This record gives sequence, structure tokens and C-alpha cells, in this order.
Amino acid sequence: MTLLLAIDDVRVSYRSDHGLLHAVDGVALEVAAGTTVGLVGESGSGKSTLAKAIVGLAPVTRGAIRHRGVDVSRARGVQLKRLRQSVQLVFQDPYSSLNPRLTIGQLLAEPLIEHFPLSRSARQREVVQLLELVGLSAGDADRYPFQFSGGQRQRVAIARALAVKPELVIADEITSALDVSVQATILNLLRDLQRETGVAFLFISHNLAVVRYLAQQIAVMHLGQVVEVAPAQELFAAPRHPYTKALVDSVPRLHRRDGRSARVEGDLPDPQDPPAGCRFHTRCPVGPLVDPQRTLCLTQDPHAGATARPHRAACHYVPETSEELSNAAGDRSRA
Amino acid sequence: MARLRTRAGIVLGSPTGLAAALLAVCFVAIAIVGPSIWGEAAMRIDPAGAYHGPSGGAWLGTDGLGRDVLARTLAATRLSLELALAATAIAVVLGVPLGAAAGIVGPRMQRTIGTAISFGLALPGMLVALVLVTIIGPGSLGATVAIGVALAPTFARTAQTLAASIAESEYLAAARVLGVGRRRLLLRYVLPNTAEPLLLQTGVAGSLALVLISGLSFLGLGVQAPSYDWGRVLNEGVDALYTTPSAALGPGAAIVLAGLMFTFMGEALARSMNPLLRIGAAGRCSGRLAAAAASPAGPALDAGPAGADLATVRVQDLHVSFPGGSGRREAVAGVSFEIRPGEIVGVVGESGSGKSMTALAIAGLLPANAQATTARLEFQGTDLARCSPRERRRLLGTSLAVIFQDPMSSLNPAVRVGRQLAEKLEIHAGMSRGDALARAEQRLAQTHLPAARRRLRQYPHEFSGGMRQRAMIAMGLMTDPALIVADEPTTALDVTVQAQILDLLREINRRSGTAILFISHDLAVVTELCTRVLVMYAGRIVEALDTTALDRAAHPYTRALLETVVDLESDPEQPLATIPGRPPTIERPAAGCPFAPRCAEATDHCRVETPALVPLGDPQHLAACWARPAGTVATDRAPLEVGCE
Repeated sequence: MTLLLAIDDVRVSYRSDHGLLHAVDGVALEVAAGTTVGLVGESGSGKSTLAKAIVGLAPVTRGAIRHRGVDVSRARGVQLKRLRQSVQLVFQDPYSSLNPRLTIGQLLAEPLIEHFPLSRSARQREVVQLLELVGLSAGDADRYPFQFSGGQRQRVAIARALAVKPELVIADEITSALDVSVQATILNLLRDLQRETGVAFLFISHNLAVVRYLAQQIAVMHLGQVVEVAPAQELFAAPRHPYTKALVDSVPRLHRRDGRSARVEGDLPDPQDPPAGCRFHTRCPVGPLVDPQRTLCLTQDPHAGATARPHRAACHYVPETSEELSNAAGDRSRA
Repeated sequence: MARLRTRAGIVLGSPTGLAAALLAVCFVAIAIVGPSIWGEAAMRIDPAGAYHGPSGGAWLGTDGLGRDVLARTLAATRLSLELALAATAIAVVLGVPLGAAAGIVGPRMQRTIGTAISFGLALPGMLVALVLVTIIGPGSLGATVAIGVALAPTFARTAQTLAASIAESEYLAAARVLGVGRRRLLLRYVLPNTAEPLLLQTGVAGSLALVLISGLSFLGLGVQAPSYDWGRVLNEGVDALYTTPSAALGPGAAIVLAGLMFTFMGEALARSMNPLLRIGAAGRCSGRLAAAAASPAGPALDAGPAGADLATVRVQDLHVSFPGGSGRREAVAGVSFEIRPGEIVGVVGESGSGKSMTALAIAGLLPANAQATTARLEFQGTDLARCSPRERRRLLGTSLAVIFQDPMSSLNPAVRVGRQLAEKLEIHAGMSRGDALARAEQRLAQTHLPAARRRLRQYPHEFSGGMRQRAMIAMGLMTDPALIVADEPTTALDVTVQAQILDLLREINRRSGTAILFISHDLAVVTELCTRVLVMYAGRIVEALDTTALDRAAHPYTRALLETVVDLESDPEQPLATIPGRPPTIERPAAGCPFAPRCAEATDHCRVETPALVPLGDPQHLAACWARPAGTVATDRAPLEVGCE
């Protein structure tokens, strides 16, 4: 599989009143062509900032973002324009991401005007095709965004992103503002689009169930860092990082049979002043909170040991059992 | 679909727009022909006829040189309007680019420009104008430039604020990601979205410029003789204010009318820029006050089983409506249910199903333009619809707690958390401040907020989202409520924090038997927490059942909703079930069963008559569906007939 996007040790920093804030701090992640990578994490984990950094809307202060081998993390001018023809971003809120003053037809024509020399009639045809691709009709082109429901607007936003025929679409929480029944239609749409056009998705969400449904590979973010990356099935069957385990366990379920096991106490620490050592140790259910012997977590960053294995977890105390489990799963997938 | 209305149509469609248009036509006509018709009469000096009152020859009388004031007023129209427009144009041209620039430049330059604008705003406009006039020299040109410069800072500030908000908007970010060029960004994204407020301000500034220039002329610093504008004519008339007041009134009235024209014009043009109005979709709010009135007899429907007299809340035939285009629109259309002590009742439904309005109606917190009627709204045995407003406030204030989705907007940011918690007891129980604060600390500790005593002295912004929601819950617990109404209390929270808050609600319920009405769009959350579920669709309860019976859900909508939920058991290989179509809007309620247009099992009967909520075989299990008549036994879920996209 072709490697489309390789994020290597990326840091995104903002200047704040109290000094530098690293919203993304040393993230490594890869997206292969035609696949869906899920990115989960709580608010403040830096997942949206990472999305913005990929398309050049946030400043990368360290590391590289390679698009087909070319570092685009500091792209300008023509290079940036070429990147944006290949990588597109769909925002969370379909109410604020569509210019209220333009009709749907005009909104979809905007990227076409910028990227393709088309005649007016060819552009109209293209707009109609895009509308039909996302399940809207040609008649919708003359209407304004406020005449549509949230789900329909999100379809417009998706169509607009697809207008430039990108290889990768970053979807940043695109279903979290929608009702469940509408969410299902959008998720189905993304699946179908991937089958029809072969577009890759970086699907960002705080909803683990949704990410599990769409993604083949899942990365879990916590306080600006990726703490675990694994194939989707494996991540849920045998989560290795205690934070992942707690996240999975916190997901409300329709048919919960047993009680919860790992419960995380408290809230996310201040990203301005992240805890030393492992950033999760202040809330970790297996760390120094419960086992004072585990002082390693207080001083050592567990990322140092994490390598590019298919299942990597940044934890000093990965339980043996899940290690074996994941090995077994790995064997099965190789077989 | 409504056809697009033209801009002119919108302008003329509103009373102010029509008034502005009429005034503008008159003023422009007078400005064009005025000097040639009345110019001569206006200059004719007649020392014998000085300070004459109104007469057949001069309707407004004459001034100190015996000139006809009406003729002078009319002839001065052109110059007065020209100067006002020129000054406004100068203000716009100077102010808008400066302010807009502040939105695009770097942070340091931004601060510099911002400070300069603030400095300009701090100086009184008239003072600036006076100083500038003395520098440039009195006269039309000096006055116009001075007023233009004096008004520029207000435009700069407006443009700066607008540009800043647009620069942060997602649609601008989206356009940049799409590679839209800078010129198009300005022309298609920034300018159209600033047009409305800027036009409004231009109108106000036009009228202000007119008044200020007239003022300068009145003081002798503006238009110089032999030229004259309204300010000068006013000045000449004021000398004899007590003998011939009409000589001052004429130009005064002209200034007022022209000022109105500018303001109205700005308003009308701003409206014409609004795409909502172009489509004719914007509704009008009549702002009628809420009145929970008891309707004498509604269709009495017993939603609850025996032992109902113990109910914490009993609602019968609740309707909530809003003023709409034609008549009223019903957001809640006849809802009946009850909550018994210790029960956790979940209300699920999609946006627009009326679930929040139902909760707000019980809490007496409906928006001002909503109107609620009930056959019965009983809270702990007292009918709220029939007791005095004061008694209702006391009862709800002490026995009911409400938790909202956004804890930041429901806590007062300017008051310490401890004070906010204690306040309720000081008001309702007459407790002393010290005792109330002690109770507050205890309640905060009960919600597992660490270091409760220290937290009392903090402000809401020092709390994280989860801590604020705990503080809101603690506030609700201050009076040991019988019922907690929680409207999407975990929707804005992260999953790990959501799990903590759900644990807390469960604990409160178990410890003190507090009943909870839990509103959520998330079926999974509801099934985890609640003992009973009410499923709402289009303002009605379509199914009511115990959470354990969800596997045997009877109503096609409930079953479809359950199917669409993505959870950790969903098969990634299969497409998700969806519900075809869209829910009816309250603008266009469907006849018959509201779900019929989307239901695979619907018959002709469903489309005509609305089914009532009736108990199925199990008295705890109610459904409103013609395909599930009263007394039928609900079975395990059969394969669904809802469509898959």
C-alpha cells in the first residue's frame, strides 16, 4: 500500500500568556492510500490541532509532515496549493463552516474555480455530479445553507472537500453535531465514497464506537501525544495502554452486561503544564496512584521505547496478557 | 421553494424601508431642483421685511435680512446633503480599511492599530472636529474633512471587530483549505459578511455627520456666507427665536427628517443584504408571554399504573407551542407521563422532538414566547397549573433541581461558586450565610469534587467542564430536591468525564431516592442510567417502557432508532441502518401518525388518524402505533423493515 501521509515527531506550539503551549507534542502517524485511520481522544488532546497542522492552518514547530515523501509542514504558495488539492479538511460544525452568503452551487464551484480551468457549463455539470455523489439533488444548487438540515449541510461540506478530487480527506468530528439517525447516513456515505473513489480518510472523533466502525487503524491521543496505535479490531479486543482501556470502558453501551473495570478519575491535566514523565500518571488506574512502586512513570517518558510496530503503546507497564493477545492477533492477520 | 425576493422588494417591504425610500425620493428631488427654483428667492434681501412671521409669501417667515426661510431651507438641501454624504464617505474610506487591516496583520501591528482606534474613540467627535476645523480653516471643506475624520474611528472599530470574527470563522478556514485566493476571500467571504452591520452604521453615521456639520455651520465654523446650509439657516433663524420661532423650526425639521432618512436607509439596506430575508424564510416573533394555564378538559390519559398518587411528577396532556407564521406551532403535542420517587426516567429523541421543551415546561423555564397548557401538571401532589405563581416558585425552588448541557453558561461567571450554591438556601430556607456555606461544602464533597472548601472560594472559570457540572449538581442538591431535571448534562463532556457524572447521578439516586428526569439524544447513555425510557418523536411520546424491555421495543421508530446507534458491537462490514426521510418540522406537522411518512409498516389509516399511547400486554409498556393495538404482547425484535442506504 502506498504511504500517503507520514507524520513524523510533529510538534505544534502556540504562544500563550504563560509561555509556549505544545498542543501537539511529538506525534508520529501514518496514513496509507485508500484506508481510513481513526484518531480518538478527549477535548484538549490536540487531535483537531493536528488536523489543522496537516493542511497548513496551524504552525508546525518541529518534525515533518510528509505527503508522498515531500515535507509539506512549512509549505507556502504553489506547494501549499498542490497540497490542498490532495488533502482536504471537513469541519465539525456544518453551520459555521459554510459561508452563509453563498448558495450551495456557488460554494461547490469555489474550489473548482481555484483549481481547474473549466468552462462555466462544465463547472455546473461538475457541481451537479458532486451533489449527486453525496445524495443531494441538482435542484439544491440554488439554495442557501440555512435552508438545509445539519446532516444535509455536512453532505455539502463533504462534497466541497471532494470537489478538488483529493487523495485524503480529514474529517474532524463531522458527525458529533448530528442526530444518531443522521450520523448513520453520513457514516454510510463515507464508506460508499471510499469504495467508489478510493479516497483515504483521517477520521477524527471523540466517539470510539464511530471510529471503530469506520477505521482500519486507530490512534489514541492524550494531551498532545499519541499513546497507542493499533489495527482497529485489536485496539478494542486488547487495548494495551491504560488510557485506551479506560476510554473503551467509558463508552456507553446499549447492552452492558458487566460493570466497568478501569475508571479514570478527575479531568485532563492542564496542557499548558503537562505532568512530567508519563503524562497520564496523574489519572492512571495502573500507575503510581495505585502502585507507589511504579516511580518510573513519574520521571520517564514512555514514548522513548515505542517503535513503529503495528501495535504500539506508550506505557511502561503494558500488561503481559494483552501483549500475548496482540501477538496472537498479529499472527492471525499474517496467516 | 420560495422564489428569491429582490433587494428592492425587501427594502420596500418593511415600514422603515418604505419610509426611507419616500423620504429619499423627496430629498433627492428637492436637492436637484431646489437651488434653481428657490435659489433666487432665498437670496432676495428685503430689509423692510426682516423677522416677519409666517405669511402667504413666506410660509415660514423671514430672517434678519428679510429672506424667505422656507426658500432658503429648500435651496440649502443640496449642499447640506452633499456635505453629510462627503463626510460619511471620508469616514468610511478612512475607517473601514484601517479596521479591516487590523484583522489580517500580525499580532503586534494588530495591537498598535487597536490602541490607535481606542484612542480615537475616546476623544469626543465634536471636539476633534472643532480642533481640526481650526487647523484646516473654517469653511465647507474644513468642516467636511473634520467631521469625516472624527467619525472614522467608529467605523474602524466596527470593521476591526467584524474582520476579527470572520478571520476566526470556520468557513474562512474552510475556504483557505480549498485554496481560495486572497482577492476572492475578501470579495466573497469577508465583505458580504460585514456588509450588514457596516451599512447599518453608515446610516447612523450619515445622520450624525449631518447634525455635526450643521452644528459647525451653526457655530460659524462650517459653511461660510454667502453659501448656506441648514446649519447656517438655523443660526440665522435662532436670533429671533421668540418672535418668529418658525424660522428656526424649518431648518430644524429638515435636519431631523434627513437624519431619519439616513438611519432608516441604513437599516433597510442592511436588511436587504440578509439572505434569510431574500428567501422570505425569517419568522417573526410575537414575543407573547408564557402562561401555564389549565385547560378545563383535555383527553384524560392515564400514563401510569396503580399507586400513581405517590408520583413525584404527573403530567397530563402537556402542549407547548410557539408563535409561528400562521397560527401557533406545537413543539410538544399532548404529552402525558409520570415519574415516581426513586425512578430515573430517560427521555430520548432527536433534535426537534420536543424532549427539552417537555423538561423545561415541568421546571417552569420555558422561553418567553412559548405557551404551555396542561390538563394537569402535578408536582408532589400539588397541581402547578392551579397554584399561585409564588407558591409554584417556592415549590420548584426547593424540590426541583435543573442541570443543563453547558455548565459554563448556567453558572454566574462573576460570583464565587460557594456564594452561588449558598444563595438558594439563603433565599428559600432563610438559612444564615455561614450555615449555607457549610452545607455547600458538604454538597460539593458529595459530588466528589476534591478540596471542596478551597473550591468554594473559586470562580466558575477556574473549574474544568466536569468540575462545573459537579458544581451544578451540588447546587441542585443544596435543597435535597425530590426531582432532578437533567437536560443533556453530559453531551458537552468527554467520555471519561461523562462516565464519572453518570456514576454520580446514579449514586445520588441510590442514596437519597431522588427521582431523575434525564433528557438525552444518546440512547446508549439512557439505557445505562435510566430505569424507564420515554421515546419522543415530533412532540409526542411514541413509546414508554422499562429499560430492560428495550429488546422488545414495539414502536417502529424506537426500533429504527436502536438500529441506527453505532456502538462497540456494530459490524464494520455491514452498512448502518438508517431511517429514510426526515422528521416533520413543527412548521409542517404531518397528519395522522407523525412517523407514518418514514415507517415501512404504515397503512392508510396511519396517515389519517393519530394513534394514542396505550398499554400493550405489559401495563408498563406503552406504545402509540396502530400496528400494536392495546393488549398485544410485544415480542423480541424481529428483523427490521427499515431501509438501509
